[in-house]
Amino acid sequence: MDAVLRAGAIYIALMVLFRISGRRALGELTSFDFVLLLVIGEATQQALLGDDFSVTNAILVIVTLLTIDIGFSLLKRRSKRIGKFIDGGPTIIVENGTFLRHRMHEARVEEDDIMQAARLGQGVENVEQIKFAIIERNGKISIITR
Amino acid sequence: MLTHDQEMQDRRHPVDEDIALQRRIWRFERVGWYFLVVVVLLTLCGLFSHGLLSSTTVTSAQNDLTVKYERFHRSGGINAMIIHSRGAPGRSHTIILGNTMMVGFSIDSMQPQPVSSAGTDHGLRLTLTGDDHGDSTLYLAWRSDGLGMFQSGISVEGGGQVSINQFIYP
Repeated sequence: MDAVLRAGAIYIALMVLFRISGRRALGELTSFDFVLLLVIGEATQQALLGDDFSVTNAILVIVTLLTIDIGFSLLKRRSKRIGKFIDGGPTIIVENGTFLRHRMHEARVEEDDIMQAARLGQGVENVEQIKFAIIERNGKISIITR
Repeated sequence: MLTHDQEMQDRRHPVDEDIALQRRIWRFERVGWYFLVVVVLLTLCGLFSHGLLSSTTVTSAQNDLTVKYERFHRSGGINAMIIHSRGAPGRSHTIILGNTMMVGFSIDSMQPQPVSSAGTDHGLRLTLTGDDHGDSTLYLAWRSDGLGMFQSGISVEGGGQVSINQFIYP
């Protein structure tokens, strides 16, 4: 019983915490973000397994995590609204060469982030060349040029 | 530059937006950030063990028993407790650790070892050797096994007693 409760509690806690940290936190990982993720994984491991390092416990924890994950994906398929609440939806932040600054402020995105994504993906030099920049559900910024 | 209201209207192309929901998510992120800050501050204050809110000292009315302990514990964690007790000078005396405490916690280490110990209906009886003034100090490390609130007590046989309220987080 323990294994299921532990895994369930950690899954929900991580989901809420990563939702709070916003999409961008995971979308474009810097090397520091990567190290931070490793540390979070390390901190989580003990809480997931407790004092029981048996193979059975490890398998039970993994099975529980996968079950919850698949359950959520089925729930998201059934209800678009729940899916949007869990994963968010795409958000336009540049429209016809104009930064949508109120949206950028709310989404904690800087001009530099958008221009970096534009240069990396499309070789774009300035914002006038961008028709749309969109923060996707996975946190990446996609660019559509004019 | 577009006004706030113009910006916050749903776009249908190239993606179908739901800005009202997105704004709720952004608000959730902002409130969540404040919540995280509060959690960190409360942790520093000792709400989750070790700190102003958690570390405490209680003394019996007779002044023959003083216990330093943590109010808040985390399941599986180890916390120290220091028990100062006083009996008759040059003689041993007995303290009793309440039953509830023995259910919620297990003793990880005990220094010095008592002269004798016995489990009773009331809890764990430990007989300690006092110094020339009859004072003794017992250092205990408790491992938290239970979950939730534990109201217990420690007493000196034939002397004073203190009540101990502890909470164990999952």
